[in-house]
Amino acid sequence: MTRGHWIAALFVGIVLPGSSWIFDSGALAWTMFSGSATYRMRLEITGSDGSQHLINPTALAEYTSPDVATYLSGAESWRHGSVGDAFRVQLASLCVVACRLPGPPRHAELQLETRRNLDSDVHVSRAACDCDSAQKSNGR
Amino acid sequence: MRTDSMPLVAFAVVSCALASITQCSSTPPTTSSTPDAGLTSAGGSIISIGLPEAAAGSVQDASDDTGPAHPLVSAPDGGPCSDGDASSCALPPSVCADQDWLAYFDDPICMEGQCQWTVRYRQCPGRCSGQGCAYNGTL
Repeated sequence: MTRGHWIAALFVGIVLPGSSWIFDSGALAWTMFSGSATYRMRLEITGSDGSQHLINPTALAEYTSPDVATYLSGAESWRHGSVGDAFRVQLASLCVVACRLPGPPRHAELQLETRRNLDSDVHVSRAACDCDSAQKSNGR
Repeated sequence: MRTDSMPLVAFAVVSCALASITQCSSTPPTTSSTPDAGLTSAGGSIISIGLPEAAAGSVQDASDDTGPAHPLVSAPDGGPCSDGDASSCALPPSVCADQDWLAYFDDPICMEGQCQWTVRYRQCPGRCSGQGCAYNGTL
């Protein structure tokens, strides 16, 4: 192997997936869903009258695909699955889905907690979205 | 550059291009505006969030006139609250009404110092197991 081969191999095999795993979502570090974890969600919406409501994340399942709905159901409590990282990456999109709840809400805040195992630290992710601007964007 | 290195170089270039596309399509946490984005995991895109309403299973309130297609579940004791403020009411865990239907608790209100919940039902796309719907099949 030439030096070029080594450089290319290191770049494609280590630098790309490694940097993706460390600095981004890990989308370039394919893991075959080996990283299952427990997760739970908390959804709070602000109605048009300014009142705040705690919403069960299962309510979002109505507006998603069956696959996502399966993992949203019961997510108010700790659930185990391979989708924790996927939910974290797409948390903002899920937040926008919350804007489709009856009302409709004026504002939504979605919190996701994940942990690799029962002993590991809880990783908290949050997304907030203004439903007025989200609906305008979707209506384009 | 040696010609026998060209396939490897081309592969690296294509990989870089794919990486750039992937990074550019990532959704910023607070600026995403489309619910149709693919839900991705470490392994790539697996599922799509956006669907027409009521495409995934169905929801039924306990008060539906059509009559329940599932056993009824009572809301659990929600614990104490004060001054009609339901903000301290924590969501109780969902339960399986039967093997197909999930009962979950929503819309807390504080009545007479006790958290009370609306019981809602959702038909699982697969089956109900434990405190949620379970995936039928393999990923």
